[in-house]
Amino acid sequence: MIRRLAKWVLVMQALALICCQVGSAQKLEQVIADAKKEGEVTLVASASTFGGKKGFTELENIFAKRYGFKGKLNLAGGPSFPQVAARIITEQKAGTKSSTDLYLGSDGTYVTMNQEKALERVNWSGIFPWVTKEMEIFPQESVLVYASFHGIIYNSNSIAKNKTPKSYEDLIDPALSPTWAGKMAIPAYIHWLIRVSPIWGKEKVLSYARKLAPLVGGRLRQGEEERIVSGEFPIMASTGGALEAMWKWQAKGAPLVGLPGSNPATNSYYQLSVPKNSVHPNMAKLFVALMATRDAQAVLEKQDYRSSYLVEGTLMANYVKANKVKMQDPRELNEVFQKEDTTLEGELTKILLK
Amino acid sequence: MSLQIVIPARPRRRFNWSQLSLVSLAGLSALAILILLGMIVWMSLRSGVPGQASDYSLKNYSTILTDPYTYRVMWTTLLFSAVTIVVAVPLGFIFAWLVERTDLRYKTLAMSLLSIGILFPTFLKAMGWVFLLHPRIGVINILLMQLFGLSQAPLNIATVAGIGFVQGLTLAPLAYVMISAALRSMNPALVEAASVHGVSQWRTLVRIELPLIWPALFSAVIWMFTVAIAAFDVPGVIGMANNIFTFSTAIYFMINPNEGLPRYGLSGAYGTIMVGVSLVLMIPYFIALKQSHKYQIISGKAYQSRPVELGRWWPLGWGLVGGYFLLAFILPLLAIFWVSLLPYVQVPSWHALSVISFERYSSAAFDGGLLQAAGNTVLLMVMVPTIIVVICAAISWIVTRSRLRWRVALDAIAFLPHPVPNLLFALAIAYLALLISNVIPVYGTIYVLMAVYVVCWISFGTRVLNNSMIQVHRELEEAAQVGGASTFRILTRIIAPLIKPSLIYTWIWTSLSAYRELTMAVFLASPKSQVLSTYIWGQWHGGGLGDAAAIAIMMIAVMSPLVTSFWVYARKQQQVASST
Repeated sequence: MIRRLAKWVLVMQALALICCQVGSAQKLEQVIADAKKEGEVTLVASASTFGGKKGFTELENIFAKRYGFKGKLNLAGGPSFPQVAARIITEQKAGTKSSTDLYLGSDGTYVTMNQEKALERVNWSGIFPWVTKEMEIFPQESVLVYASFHGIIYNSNSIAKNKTPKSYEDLIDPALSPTWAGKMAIPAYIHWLIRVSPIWGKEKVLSYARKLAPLVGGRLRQGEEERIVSGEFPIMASTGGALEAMWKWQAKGAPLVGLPGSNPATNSYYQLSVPKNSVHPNMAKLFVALMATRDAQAVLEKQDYRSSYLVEGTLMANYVKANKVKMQDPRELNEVFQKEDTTLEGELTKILLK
Repeated sequence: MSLQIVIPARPRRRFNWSQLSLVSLAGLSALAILILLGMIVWMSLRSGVPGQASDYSLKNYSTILTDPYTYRVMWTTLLFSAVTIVVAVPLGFIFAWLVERTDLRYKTLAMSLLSIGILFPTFLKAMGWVFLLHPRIGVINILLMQLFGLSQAPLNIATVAGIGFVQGLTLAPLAYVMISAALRSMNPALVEAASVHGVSQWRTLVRIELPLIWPALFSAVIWMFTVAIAAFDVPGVIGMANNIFTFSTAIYFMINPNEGLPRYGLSGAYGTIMVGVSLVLMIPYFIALKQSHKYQIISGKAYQSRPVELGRWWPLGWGLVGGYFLLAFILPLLAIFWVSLLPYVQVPSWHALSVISFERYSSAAFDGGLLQAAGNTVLLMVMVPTIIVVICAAISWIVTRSRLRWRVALDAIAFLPHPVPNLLFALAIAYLALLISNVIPVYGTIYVLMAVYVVCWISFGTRVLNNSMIQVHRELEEAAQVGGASTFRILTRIIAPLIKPSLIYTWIWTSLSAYRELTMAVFLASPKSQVLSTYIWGQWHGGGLGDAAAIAIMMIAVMSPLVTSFWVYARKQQQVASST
């Protein structure tokens, strides 16, 4: 009797699984059918995103192979992640369509997008079999595209070997800092310091920012590493993806070195999602899911040396496995930003960006 | 036979549709200007983003006035504007003096070299100057350091003085145009008298010529100042990454913040202050312009001044013109071209030479986004001047030919976009487009750019057309009226052919402005309404320096022959029309 019951339960489970799979497949087909009508999708981000025009051409081919139709994938060079987020929210509040069909950003700005309820809720792992629940950093909102280590990048031609920094603290070390005083670039946003605040504490972060401010010569966005490579700025205090930037530029023969800024290292989780007011939401969904495939990750690796540690076989997955690196839990990081001390943010902005 | 007295029927007063359409067109344009200006003030009294409920208060003003950052931005803007004037006005004066008052050889070539610079976008020159004079990557600095064994770069473009210098260089041709007109119409009798009395040429210049043209110089100074406080191109390209913020770049960051939502209220408050400053500056500008008539003598009497003989100094004159052309045009262009060939920015060396390629060009040539931007640019270059000519003709006709009571007010409103920084109109129209996006979905389209360009350049068009319409005698118009011609027919068949040179001039100038414009476009462009300038800006600002350089060179290479031949053709047409 028990055996029969067990068998019956197993059969029911199998049926339920099949039903689920069918349901997902139907949903995916529906998304594809709707996306075909839309035909194109636009991402507003830095002009070098995913390898820029070259990368997007390769992604178009992969897109066609995976979904069985040719969709136009557009990259429009635009402002920084936070600036695009601000634009999407503004457009939403004004009741108009978004200027971008997709949003690419990291954890700090995603918290704002989540709080503003600016993103469409999509059952990513339910519709796309290759997307796992773990990849949904904000469940049913965003999917991880690549993860990076935050750190310092510098031009090895401009900074002598005995003067090179090993950590964020070294940047304000009076023995080393005269080398880059007045010439150092910092990020145009202060999230990199909010990230280290759980490790250092608020007071240390503020004191650090005060010592750093007089050394600053300019501010750059992520993706502007060429200005370090060229020597326009000999060093950048922090960028999301310091290691990837080093791999990418060293492959071109450029004198760029990157290293994690803190120990434990801080991470950035770059995610894609669909704004609620997207003009081409179905094409956008297909694009988001596409970026979590091994094929698309291969394009990212080739063009940008970036990848997701959650996709099997990628550069980052292998790096994390081989070095037994413990990544910051992305959800814990989200909490840091959710509980973000607005006074700390305000103070840091005043010290570093005004 | 009975006598029949025929009493003529009272003529039925016909409704003048053509007059009504002209008045409506002019009225709507004036209304658009007022609405946009009102929008800036309205924004400054509100908080939040368009569409959100908000109270009205002066909080934004108190916020910016109690923030030390505002004063730093103000100081930087003042300093930048001062350097711009110090560079542009003396250069403009020297060139104007050489062309108008001396016997410099090949004057036509000199004039062409000076004006050709106007055809190329300012932000491209700024990009070039980063590669020339940056203290660490500037080719000129590195050469100077190597030549003189210096440990530090002697020059630095990434300073307020540096960006002012570049802005000044780009505005020098404009100063030249403004000052040369005054020199041309200056009273030559006084110079001749000085010459007869043996006064040296230097003394004549300082004691007679300069005082005679001071109103023009003063007007040029104020004009350069208003342009500089609103300029975005040079402060955006060189200043922003180097922590140098002027009014325009500060407003850009308020609308595109790195933290939180756009602060339209604060930018509105900044804008209102800028409008106030600009309008106040217009008072001395007008006083100077009024004074200038006192110093002009153009009459039927022998109006011919003997040019100053340069003698053996003529190569120096040409050296100045050529040097300027080299600095303002050739060197920045060469620097951009060099960078476009490299995998990453490097100073010239054997190693760099070994890695040059045209790869960036081949990938840019098939870039759909770039083609779309080029298409949008051409569309604006055709549509904006056409609309402007129609609107300005209507306004100028009302101002100069009609007897409508409010024509003076109309003229004043049409002039308003002249002193008010154009970026504020862009800001206002962005806000308005967001606000009405549910009713009229124009937000993010090319039509918004078109609308703001038209509004901003109405002032230029009306100044040109007012001056030429006023010269057409009323008799011609009255004769046509007696003949039963409608106002529209008079305007198109009589006045338009007579003022054709001015119409063509207005069309060309605004078309070229649409090609060069970045300041307004950068506030309004969206993926679908990208133009060439914003496309290059997007690459530059996103870290793709080499790609931006390659696209800039392609833009110049493709558009230059078009723009130049168009310019030459139009100038010929203008001359033909003038002579007939």
